[in-house]
Amino acid sequence: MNILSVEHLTRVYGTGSTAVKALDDVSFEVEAGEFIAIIGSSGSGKSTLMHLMGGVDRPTSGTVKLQGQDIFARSDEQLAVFRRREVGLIYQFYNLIPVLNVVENITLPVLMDGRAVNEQRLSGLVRALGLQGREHYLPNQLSGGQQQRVAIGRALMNEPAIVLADEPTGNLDSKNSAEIMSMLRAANRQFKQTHIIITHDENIALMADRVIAIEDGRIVRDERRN
Amino acid sequence: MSSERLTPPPTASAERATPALPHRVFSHFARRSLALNRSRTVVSIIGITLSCALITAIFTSAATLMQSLLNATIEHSGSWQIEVESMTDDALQELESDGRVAQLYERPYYGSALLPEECETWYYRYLNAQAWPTEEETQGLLPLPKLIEGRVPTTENEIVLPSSLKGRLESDCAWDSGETRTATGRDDAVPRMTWYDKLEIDSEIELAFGERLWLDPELNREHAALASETLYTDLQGDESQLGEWLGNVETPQRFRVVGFYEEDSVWMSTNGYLGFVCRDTTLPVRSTDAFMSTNLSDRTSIDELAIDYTKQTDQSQTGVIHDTIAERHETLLRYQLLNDNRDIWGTLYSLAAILSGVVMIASISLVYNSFAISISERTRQYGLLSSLGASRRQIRRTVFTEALILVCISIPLGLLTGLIGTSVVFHIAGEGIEKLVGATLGVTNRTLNIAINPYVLGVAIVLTLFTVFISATVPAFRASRVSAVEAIRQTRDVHVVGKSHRDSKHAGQLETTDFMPRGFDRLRMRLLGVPDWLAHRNLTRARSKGRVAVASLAVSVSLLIASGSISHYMSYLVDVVDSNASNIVLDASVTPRGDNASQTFLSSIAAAYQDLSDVEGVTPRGYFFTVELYAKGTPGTFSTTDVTSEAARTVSDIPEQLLADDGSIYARTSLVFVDDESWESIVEDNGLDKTVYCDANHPVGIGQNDMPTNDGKRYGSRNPFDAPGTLEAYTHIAAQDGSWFSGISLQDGKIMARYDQVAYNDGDTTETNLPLNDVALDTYELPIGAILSNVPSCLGNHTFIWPTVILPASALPALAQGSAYEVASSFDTNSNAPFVFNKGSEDANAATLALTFSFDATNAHIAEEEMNRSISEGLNNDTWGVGWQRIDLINNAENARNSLLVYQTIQLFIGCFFLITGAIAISNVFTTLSSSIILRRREFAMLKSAGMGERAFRRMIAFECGSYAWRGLVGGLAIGAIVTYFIWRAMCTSFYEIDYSLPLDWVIASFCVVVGVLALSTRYALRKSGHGSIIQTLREDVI
Repeated sequence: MNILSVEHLTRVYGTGSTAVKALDDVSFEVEAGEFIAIIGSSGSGKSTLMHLMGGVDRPTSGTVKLQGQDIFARSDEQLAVFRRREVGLIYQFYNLIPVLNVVENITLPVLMDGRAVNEQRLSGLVRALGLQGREHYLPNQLSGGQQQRVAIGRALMNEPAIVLADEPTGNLDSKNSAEIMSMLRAANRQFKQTHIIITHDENIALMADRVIAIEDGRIVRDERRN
Repeated sequence: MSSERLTPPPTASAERATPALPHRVFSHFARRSLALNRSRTVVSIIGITLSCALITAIFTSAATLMQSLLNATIEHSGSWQIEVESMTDDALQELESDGRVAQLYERPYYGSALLPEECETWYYRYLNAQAWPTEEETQGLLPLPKLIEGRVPTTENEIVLPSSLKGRLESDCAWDSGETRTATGRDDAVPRMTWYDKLEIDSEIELAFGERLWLDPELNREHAALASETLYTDLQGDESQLGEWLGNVETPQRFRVVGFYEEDSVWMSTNGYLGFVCRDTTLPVRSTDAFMSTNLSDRTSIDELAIDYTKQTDQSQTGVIHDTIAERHETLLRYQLLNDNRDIWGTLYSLAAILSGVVMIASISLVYNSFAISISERTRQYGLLSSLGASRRQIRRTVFTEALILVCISIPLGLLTGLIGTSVVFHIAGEGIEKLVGATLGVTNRTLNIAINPYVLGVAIVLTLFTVFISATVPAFRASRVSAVEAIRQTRDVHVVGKSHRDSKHAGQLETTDFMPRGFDRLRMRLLGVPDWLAHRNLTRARSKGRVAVASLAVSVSLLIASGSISHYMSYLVDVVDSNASNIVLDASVTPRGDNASQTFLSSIAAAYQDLSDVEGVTPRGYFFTVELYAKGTPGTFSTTDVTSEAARTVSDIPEQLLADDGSIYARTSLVFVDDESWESIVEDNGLDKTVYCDANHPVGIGQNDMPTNDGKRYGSRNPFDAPGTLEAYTHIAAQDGSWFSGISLQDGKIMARYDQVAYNDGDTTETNLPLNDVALDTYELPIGAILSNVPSCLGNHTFIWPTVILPASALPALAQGSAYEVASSFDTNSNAPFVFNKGSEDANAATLALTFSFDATNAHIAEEEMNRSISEGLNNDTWGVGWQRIDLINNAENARNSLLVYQTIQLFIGCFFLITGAIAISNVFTTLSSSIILRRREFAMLKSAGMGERAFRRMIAFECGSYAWRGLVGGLAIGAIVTYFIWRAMCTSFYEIDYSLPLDWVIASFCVVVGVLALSTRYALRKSGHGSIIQTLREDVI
């Protein structure tokens, strides 16, 4: 079943002579529960693609449909709701809120939605992420690996249909990288979530079910692995 | 060895590292940073400019006031710094060639002549002669005497006399008719000054000039008395015995009076009169006074110079010892900052220093914030520079270069603004300042030029540089300490307060659910939502960010409130000064005489009032006369609270108001009779019935409430009446032989009249008390028909002391009727017999009425002269009738205006100061708040990428600003209230019954300012931080 379909997505930055085409007529479909790696060299447009899929940026043309609905047909306010309910975003530089502690950062999307925190799920997440005993720590009291785990927790807390991660291990050592990747993989399997990981690390790509390669804003390879 | 030289070892100190990047790069970096952060650069420039302008203005104002005081002093008493009195020729020659002396004026003294015997008084004995000074001679060291008639003396036998001798006869030239001192007898044979007829121009006088001498009994030598000194008395201390005499007397010479001059504090004599002869006179010079200015710049050298010429000199020709003394012109030296206590800071300059200190603290906080924020915003850039090999010193230099660029722009602007601002303020308040200084700087040129003093400008520049340097130092060091790794990881971006110690305790023991918001937090989230909860987290966990903004807001609010309080309380002062007192007031005491005394009195004062009103340019403002007596108020008439009030008691030591058992109150009461025209307007203005109030045979009084009072020290107001009622006025209380009625007292519930008998032998007082009703010869039932709560304009010049009842002048005969035919005894006074106008024996005290006429005049000075003429005509020609005892014509116009101007000037200065300091504090709020929001743009982007909507984001910002606002307001109100308290306490020394209150309008204004500044800075910051683009923000810090 298709959960996400990207159709003729184009994103141009700047205008006139300084215009840069970051994405050029990109189309592909994602099935529910897939674990996809998008690979490409620096400046190939993979991060742009992720931001568009995550609803933090709007395309120049084309659509992104989540469960058949065009996400860009929504207003900014509705798009914010979309971001906190339906996708989980993970960045290379964690992007945690410095004044909120571990638990507060993880539960932020739920709280912003005005819903009650599923405490069972929270404690399960904290345990799974290995953050027990650090629930009250503020981001600057954590290591890079721990911060990224909090970011993953935040992305998973709302049980989103789709998790988007932009170089989630780009800032970590190999041991931490392996741990983070296995966590994401476990979440994918356990909750049947769709995961799209942007990376330029071939080893990480090898863990994916499907690898999409982008060059100069176009898909140059899209292969499924068994 | 050579290889060691070629490859220098790695230096331990990065400070002295080889300059990896040329300095130009750093100044370029500084310029670019300033250009890119245009708004903050502009705010910093405004802040530094305001600070420099304010410091310039403060010191320039002080310098200008100092200069005005100096000018006034020079105009009044000359520019001399040292006067050496009674110098000999040798000493003079020495002085003339002394390099320390800049200007010198030698004033010869030709001796003294004895005044005619009839003219001699306790203080006056001589006519002293000096040379008429010319402008070339004095060179401004002394002001010139003012010739008011005739001309200056040009030939040897001409003389100019003081105007006080003009028109005097030899037999009538004493200025008082008191006693004289007993002479030594050694100059009995000396011929005295003589003239015939009245002294006028061309009068001839004969004078024998000699030298004032006294004997030193120890050495048995004669000394010359100092010309400037008062008469020397007996050395044994008997003040009535003279200790000096006139010796070495020349033969008498005839002089022709050619002019009269006006005596002033410089040109006068303390032992008689001062006359001027010309310098070519044949009279021998007895001594010379030298007035000099010096080119010395410190007090010690001035004192040394003075001491060098202070010695006793033996005058060999006559054998008389001359004592030379030196006097320093302290007033002038004080304004030249050379005063005696070596205090180089004059009062004005120390005040300026304190104010500048306040300005500097405000500015340092502004500029510091601006730098600190700009530096922390660029932490990454500095880390990057550092990773590229920039030394700490180079990074510091970058920050200081930024500061220098700001200063180079701001200081010239600040100096200019300060000077222009001061000039404008002085122009507006010029007249007030002139009055403040007390200078008469010429009538034609009233504008006061500000003193542009290079030292003052230097001080302003140095203080501003210091302010900016201090502000930039801490951020510069902080920037230079950023390590490359720290900067790139941006761990210094946000400093958050953690609770790791407490939290680590819980590790592994508690379920995660325990960490969720609970209690108040949960309630807050449920009620106000996530935005408020996030705002709260931000405010409590990153407290230091908001603290500066809150502090600056509080300072702005408190400055605004303080400014408001000062203007609020100053208005009391202005009200007192600007009470509706009229320009010219005539105060007189009149004793009505004759068979129909009160009627005669009324027509005679009406005639006098008419005469004075007829003077050109004069507008009559009404008249009134007062009678003070005791009155009993029926219960409810006099206010019981007023009787016991502090104000009522402090009027006099004796209780003047008593509460009797039946509830009636006995009080000393003023009856103020106003002219009929004023009375009619009071009746009309208050909507009262004319038929009731204008019946002279049955007068009805009006009580005065809200009456301004002054207990001798402070101002306030009183409400002595509760309601209309009836007063039983004690119009005549019997006199007792041998004792005087001195008031009433309460004894065993009975009201007693108190009489004091003073024993002549030992001055002891014996008190007798008699029941008041037994000694009351006449009373009058006076109805009080209405109570006024505003003082009628005709009573603008009345001094309220006791409860006051206003009546028409025509009511006097009715009240006086009962005592009309009584004859005053020796023991009658105004208090017991205010209407007994008929005098019995020679020493009897017939009642006197205190009368006040009020007038406004277009030109008070001219009117005053005309009115004085009218008064003497009226009295001499008997058109004003009899009984006028004392007439004082007072010109209030100038006094009132001057005080008003002075207060307004002070108010203007204080207001300007507070408002500009407030403006600095407001720019501080703007910088701090907008920067703190801009710095958090990454955090905002994170929140948005995590799904925070625009509305929720705005609410979060609004909650944070709301928190700043209420904290700033509360803090500011608290500080403002404390400052207001001190201002109020200061005012209480001059006023009583003024309430402590915060100026509500200014509180509202500061509320609006807080809201406005917060809205403006947030709006600006949000626009600047481009809150719409999440990706851009998230990306831009990634190197």
